[in-house]
Amino acid sequence: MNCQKVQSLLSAYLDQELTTEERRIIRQHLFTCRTCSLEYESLSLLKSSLGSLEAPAEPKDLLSKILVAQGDSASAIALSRIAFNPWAFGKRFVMAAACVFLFLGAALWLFPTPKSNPMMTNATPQTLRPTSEQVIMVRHMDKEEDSAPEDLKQEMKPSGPQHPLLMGIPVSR
Amino acid sequence: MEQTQPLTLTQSASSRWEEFEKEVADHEKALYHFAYRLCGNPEDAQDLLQEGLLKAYRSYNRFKKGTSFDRWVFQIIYRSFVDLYRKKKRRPFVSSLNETSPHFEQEKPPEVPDYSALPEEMALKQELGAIIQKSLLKLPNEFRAAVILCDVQGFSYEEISQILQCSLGTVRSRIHRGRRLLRELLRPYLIGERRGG
Repeated sequence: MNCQKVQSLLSAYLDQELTTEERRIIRQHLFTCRTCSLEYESLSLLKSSLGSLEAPAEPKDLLSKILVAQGDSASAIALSRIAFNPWAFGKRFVMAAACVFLFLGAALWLFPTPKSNPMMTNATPQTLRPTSEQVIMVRHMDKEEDSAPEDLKQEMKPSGPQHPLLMGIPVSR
Repeated sequence: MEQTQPLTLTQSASSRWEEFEKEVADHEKALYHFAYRLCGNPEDAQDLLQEGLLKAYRSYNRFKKGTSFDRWVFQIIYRSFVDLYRKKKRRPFVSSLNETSPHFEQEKPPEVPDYSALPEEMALKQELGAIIQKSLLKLPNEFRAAVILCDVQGFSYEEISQILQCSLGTVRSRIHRGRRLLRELLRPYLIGERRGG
C-alpha cells in the first residue's frame, strides 16, 4: 500500500473504522514511513482538540419555550381552520344559524311590514281617495255658490278645513 | 351549560409531552452542543435547537420506539440547519459594523469549574476553543457536520451515515476531507499546542 492510499485511510484508521487486515497494513506502514506518521500525528492531535472542546451551557427554559411555540402554532392552526372552514365550528354553529334563519322567516311571514307586502303600500291612499259621488257633490256646491246671493255665499263657504285630498283637486267653473 | 376553558394540552397530548420532555432532558446537552458547533454562536444555536425540537415534537408520533432518540433528533436538527442555511443564503447579508463577530465570542465556561487546571491553562484552552470554532465555521456544511458528529459527539461512521442520510463511503470521505481542511486552518495553533503539551 503506497503513501497516498494510506493517507486517505488515516482518518478511518484513527476512528477505528477499518477492518483488522487494513489496520494491520497501515500500522506497519506508519512504523516505516515518517511522512505518513507525521500526518497521522497531526490528525490525532486535531481529533483530541475537537474532543476536548467545552460544551456550552445550555439554555434553561428551552423546553418551556418549545411548549409555548407549540401552543402558539396549534392555536394558529385552529384559527386558520376556522377562518377557511366554517364547519370547524361544529354542529352547534350550524344549528344556531338555522334557528336564526327560521325565526326571521317566521317573523316576516307572520308580521309583514309595508315594505315586505306590496298590497299594503296602496291601502292607505285608497281609503282616503274621494269617491265619484263626493266629487260631483263638490262641483254642484260650487255652482250653487255662484248663483246664490252674497249673504248666502258666506253661509255656504265651508267653515272647517276641507278633506286634505280634495284641496288639491281643480274645480271647473 | 358548558364553560369555555383556556387552551391546554389534552390528557394524551400531556402524556406525550412528558415522554418527549424526558427523552430530550437525557440528550439536551449534546443536542445543544451540536447546534452550537454548527452555528458558532449561542443565539443561532438556541433558535436551531428550538426549531429542531419543535419539528421533532410535531412528528413524535412517527418516531419508532426502541430506536435511538438522539440520532433521530440530530438528524432533524441537521436538516433544519441546512434549511436555515439555504434561507440565509438567499437573503442579502446585513451586518452592523459595531457588532462583534460571533466567532470571536468567548467560549462559555463549563457549569462545574475544574479547579485542578491553572487559570492560564483555562484561558489558553478557551482561546483555542474559540479559534477552533472559527475554523469550523469555514468548513462546508456537510464536512463540518460530519467532523462535529465524529470528533465532538463521538458517533460511529454508521451512526453518522444515518444522521446525515448518506452512505458510509461518503461519511468517511467527508470526515477525512473536513479534518484535512481544518488541520490546514489550525496548523500554526496545533504546532504550538503540540510543543506546549
